[in-house]
Amino acid sequence: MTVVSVRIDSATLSEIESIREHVEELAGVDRAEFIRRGAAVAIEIAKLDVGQVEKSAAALDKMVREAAKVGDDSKLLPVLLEVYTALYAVAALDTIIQMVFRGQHAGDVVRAYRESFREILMELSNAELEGDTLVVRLGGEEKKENVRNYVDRVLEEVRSYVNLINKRRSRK
Amino acid sequence: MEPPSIKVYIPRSERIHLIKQLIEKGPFYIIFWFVFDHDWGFGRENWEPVAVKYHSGQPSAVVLRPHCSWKIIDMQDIGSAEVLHVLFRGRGHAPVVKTLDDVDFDIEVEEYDGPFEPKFEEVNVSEVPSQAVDPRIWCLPRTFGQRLDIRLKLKELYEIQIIEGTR
Repeated sequence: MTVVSVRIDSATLSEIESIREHVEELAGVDRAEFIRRGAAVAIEIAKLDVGQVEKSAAALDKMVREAAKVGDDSKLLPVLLEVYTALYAVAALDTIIQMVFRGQHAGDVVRAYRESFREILMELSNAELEGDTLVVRLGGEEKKENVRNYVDRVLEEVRSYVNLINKRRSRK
Repeated sequence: MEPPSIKVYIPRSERIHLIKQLIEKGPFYIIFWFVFDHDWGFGRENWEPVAVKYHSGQPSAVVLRPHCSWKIIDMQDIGSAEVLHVLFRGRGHAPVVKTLDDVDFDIEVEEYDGPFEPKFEEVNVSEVPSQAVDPRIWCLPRTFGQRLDIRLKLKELYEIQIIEGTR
């Protein structure tokens, strides 16, 4: 078994704190819950970096399957919000880990995922269902999309991220 | 200033949304503008800059503005100043430039369209929309108070470079 020691400096701590603030702001997650989830995710990500990605990928896959299983669209959106809150934390910590272990630009692709997850969280937090249409109103703008198409698209983002971390692991 | 060659990768679903590729030549920079016909599904154009900063006629850094934040990459971290590999991720078309330490780039582009080498049309400074140069209005509220003007950023970096005299 490989033991990984992760040193957290003050810059990393302040980044984690700013992530917490974003998540709190976007999804109303309380501090204790976030720390609990964040710690679990951090442990998983640390394992991920030494080649034990299966558990993380399996956990994400499970969340995706559970989200897709819920047929009622009005119930689906809160599930997606939950999934994406966790995903945002995963990608945020993954970004930090990549930078710490591999170099200052090594987290750029994951950071782009993180920001994509953040945008989706923002959408989900500002969305209403009108029949089978999801209406997002943000910053004075409005867009509409069929809710099933929207769900397919955001789940594809999850699959894409899981695919990335799995391939990364297999190429070590 | 000789512009580098740009190799572009875009997710298949977004390829048809890239409608223009423009090149803006400034006194100490070149900005490659990639124009998409939407931004996160909102029906406005998304102008993504990939800027190359020059010092003494040589490219010294790449400057990006993914998701309304700055990303500055020294040319030495890219490896080659002659060819830049750039991917545009997701529906927000966040640009990522391939660097020497980035193992995820090659994995990510496996399912993308590309690489292709766009033909750039030259554009004057005045022809670039002001909200492309400084997209603050689209970035609120999280970037409140931040400066996002790409030309001002390049000027600031250039001046720092002159003062430091190192890069």
